[in-house]
Amino acid sequence: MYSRVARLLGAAVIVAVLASQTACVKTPSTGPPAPAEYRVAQAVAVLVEANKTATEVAISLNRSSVLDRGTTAEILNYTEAVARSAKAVLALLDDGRPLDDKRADIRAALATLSNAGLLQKGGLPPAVVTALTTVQLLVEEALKEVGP
Amino acid sequence: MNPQTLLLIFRGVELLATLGPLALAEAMKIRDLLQAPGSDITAELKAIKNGAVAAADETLAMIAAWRAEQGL
Repeated sequence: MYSRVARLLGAAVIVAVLASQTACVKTPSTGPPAPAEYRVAQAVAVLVEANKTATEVAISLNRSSVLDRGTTAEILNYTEAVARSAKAVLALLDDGRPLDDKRADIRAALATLSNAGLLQKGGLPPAVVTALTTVQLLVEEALKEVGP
Repeated sequence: MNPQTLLLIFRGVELLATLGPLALAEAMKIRDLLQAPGSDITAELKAIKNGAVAAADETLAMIAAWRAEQGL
C-alpha cells in the first residue's frame, strides 16, 4: 500500500517539476534567455526549499512516532549535507568569477548529493520517499543548469 | 484503511501541495522577469540568493534543534 502511494506521489512530483521546467523553456520567446547564473541560483533556491520541506517532514514524522530516531538521524544527515552544499554553491556564485571559471567547483559541491542509499532502504513512509525523491530530482536539475 | 495510513497519505498530499505550486511559482517568476521591460535582474538574483541562504540556514537550525532534543 505504502509503495503504491509513494509511486503515485513520486509521479505527481515529477509532473510538477517537469511542468515547471516546461514553463521555463517555453516562455522566453518574447525576450532574452535568463542568464546562466540566474538559472543556477533559481535551481538551487528551489532545491533548498524542497530540502527544508523534507527536513520538516522527517522531523514531524519522528515526533508522531512514524519514523524511528535512527532513520530520522540518517535523513537529517543527508538534508544537512544538501543545505551546506547549497550554501557553498551560493557562495561560489557570489565570488566575482565568471560562471565558466567555477562550473567545476559548483558541480563538485552538488555531485556528491546522491540519496540513492536512503531511497533504497525499505519501509520509509511515502511522504519521506516523495520528499527525498524530489530533493534528488532537484539536485539533478541544478546540475543540468550548471552544465558540463 | 487504518488511521496511520491515512495520516501518511495526508502528509504526502500536503507535501505535494507545498512543492508543486512552489516550483511553478518560481518558474512564473522567471517568465514575468523576462517579459518585464527594464526589470532589474541583478536585484532579483540577489534576492533569490539571499532567500536561498535564509532557507538553508533555517534547515540547519531545525536539524540542530532536533539533535539537541534527542541528546545527539
